[in-house]
Amino acid sequence: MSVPAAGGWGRSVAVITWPFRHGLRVPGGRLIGQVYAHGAGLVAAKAAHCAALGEVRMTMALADDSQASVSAAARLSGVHYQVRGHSVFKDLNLSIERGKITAIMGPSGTGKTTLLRLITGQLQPDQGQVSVDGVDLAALKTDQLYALRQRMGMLFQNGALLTDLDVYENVAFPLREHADLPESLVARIVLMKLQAVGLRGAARLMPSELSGGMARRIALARAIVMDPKILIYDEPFAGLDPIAMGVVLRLIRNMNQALGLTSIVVSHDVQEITALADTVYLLSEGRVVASGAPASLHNSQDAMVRQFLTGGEEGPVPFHYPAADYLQQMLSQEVPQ
Amino acid sequence: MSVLVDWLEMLAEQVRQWGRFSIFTARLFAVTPRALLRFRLIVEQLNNTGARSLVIIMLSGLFVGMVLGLQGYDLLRRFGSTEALGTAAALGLLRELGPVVTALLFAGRAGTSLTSEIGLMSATDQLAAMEMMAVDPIRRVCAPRFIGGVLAMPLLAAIFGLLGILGAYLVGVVIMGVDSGQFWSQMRSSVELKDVVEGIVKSVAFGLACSSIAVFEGYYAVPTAEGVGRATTRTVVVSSVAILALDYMLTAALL
Amino acid sequence: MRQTRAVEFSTGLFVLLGFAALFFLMTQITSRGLSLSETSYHLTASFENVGGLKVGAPVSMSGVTVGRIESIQYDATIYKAVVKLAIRTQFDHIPNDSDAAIYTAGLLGGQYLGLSPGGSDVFYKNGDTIQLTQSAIVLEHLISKFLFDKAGQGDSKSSTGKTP
Repeated sequence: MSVPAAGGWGRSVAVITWPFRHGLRVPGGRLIGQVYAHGAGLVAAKAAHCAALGEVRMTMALADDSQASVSAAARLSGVHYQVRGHSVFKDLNLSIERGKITAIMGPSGTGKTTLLRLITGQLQPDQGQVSVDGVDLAALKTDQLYALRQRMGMLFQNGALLTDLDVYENVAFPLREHADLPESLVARIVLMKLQAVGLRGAARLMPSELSGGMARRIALARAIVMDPKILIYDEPFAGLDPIAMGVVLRLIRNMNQALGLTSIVVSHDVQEITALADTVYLLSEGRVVASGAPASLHNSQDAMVRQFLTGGEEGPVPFHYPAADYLQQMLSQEVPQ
Repeated sequence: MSVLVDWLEMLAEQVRQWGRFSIFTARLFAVTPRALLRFRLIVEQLNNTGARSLVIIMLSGLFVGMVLGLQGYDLLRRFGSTEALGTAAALGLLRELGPVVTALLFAGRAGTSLTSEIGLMSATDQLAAMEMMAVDPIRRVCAPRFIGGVLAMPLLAAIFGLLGILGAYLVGVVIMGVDSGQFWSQMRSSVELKDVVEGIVKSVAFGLACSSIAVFEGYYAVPTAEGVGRATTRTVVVSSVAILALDYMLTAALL
Repeated sequence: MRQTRAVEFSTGLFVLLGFAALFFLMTQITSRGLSLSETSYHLTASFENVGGLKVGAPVSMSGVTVGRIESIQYDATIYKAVVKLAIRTQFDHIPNDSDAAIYTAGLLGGQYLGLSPGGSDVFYKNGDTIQLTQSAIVLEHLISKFLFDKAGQGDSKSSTGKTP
């Protein structure tokens, strides 16, 4: 047994086979599967722990993301989506590049959260196709969709921690639901993930005792506990103070590099996204109005893009909700109906 | 014209609601066998719905029994057969009041807390987060609560009935002076196993109805503070009507 | 999981109380409803009239309940009501010439079936038929019989009065 000496937070991915629900069976061993461990630090910790346990048979090999060149991590083509007759997306086309951080921006109410729910298969498009890892989501059965979701992690706006469980149990939740691991191993994995977000000491706090930034970091630890390949962030910066914002920003960047993740970030914090994203899609009124590297967007002359990036009052998105003539309404005696 | 359209739309919404409820309960039943394996979760819910309702059930049972004792005594005295008080109280409690009052209290105490708990979980994206972690919230959240409720109800009804009989005994024998031996022996000779079974059948049926309604209303609550509040109210209203309607049907079927 | 022990305790208390209550209700409050198929044997008896006898009514000997009425049916071939009795197996020493009669418990009470032991050395066994039966006393019949007798007496008196 050797631990690959990938330096620091390298791209190398070690594959440890493990007694896991899905997977191969080794001679004389239990049913095993794969736990992806990323980065030399994590691998070393897991390897050392396995050796200490003695009961777990394991093999380890260097592997790279074999599918990296196959296709985009996720793709939406010609997607139409309606809610109660109101059209949210009209012919939306998006492609999420593997291993990159893709940001989806847009004014409030442009259906950014809806887009995430389409990518995760929580919603189905009325028309068009959503595919993840080259697989059309519409063709999947519920259990196949669930299997796919085990390879995706999502960070909800407010963390969405389970309020009746403490921090430790929250992070352990996916492991307990999907894998039958010995408790000591669960503890190691959970503590590693908590260490990664800097909150190992908060393991026994309840979610109600956490600040907004802490809750989001815990949720991030939970999102990566199954070692997903795609990590989705819904408004990760909303409502955070500048320090917490910086912490979350660095975490997202480090996770992406260290774990070789594909990240999708929905946000409208222009500054943070400019600093973070490889590619930006700007949505407005149900379609993509601009896309490209953050720098190229800053150079754009498009009125919508300019208004969004500078936060201007004048532009395609009006300040005033459509209304009758101001002067006339003020002079008349009428009360708005 | 538009009034008619509105009215039809409301009717259609009611029908849709029935459809949603049917589909939801079908899913609930489908995941129940798998949920039963998670014994710990069910024990937790048995504590939430059952053990925490214990005090209110015991107190209510005692008082209902005492009222039955008084009323029954007054009524039976007119026929000169106060020794039948035990029989009257036991039959009333076992077959009717025990299951029905327990279920109504359950809807108010445990049903509302189930609905608001699940509704708030949905409002704070906890259910969506579970789905994203490839965990079916109906299996992980709804089913254990449902099973816990169904298991708790007959036990609560039995406790209610027992304390009710005790209450009737207190009033009838200790206060009003009915002969203690007569009270018990008359009760024993005329109450049959069938009466107890009728009570159990009823309370299991009420448990199924109350728990599924509470869990359903929570799961489909509009995820806002107002929506959860409304869903909670609806749980009490719908459960109460369902209990009384079911009670009539079951009484007619079991008599 | 810090409150695990408290949760365990209160849940345990609840479940124990619940089952204790159920057990008490089923065994102490009830008359130990006979499970008819297992611990009993069956007899049949036919009656001209069963009156208000109901299924489930007690069968008693010397005032002690020994069984229950299991079914009451009308047999169109003999024009009689056929009553099936379930007698507890512990009462298996009932002489096979015992007779069955339908009585009323108290003035307003329900009707029950009473067995009066005969003198035979052979006992009833499962499937036997009780030969000697006495129908329920129907109040209307009793009254009309009484009136009829009175009328008959009156007639005979008047006729005897005329003959001499």
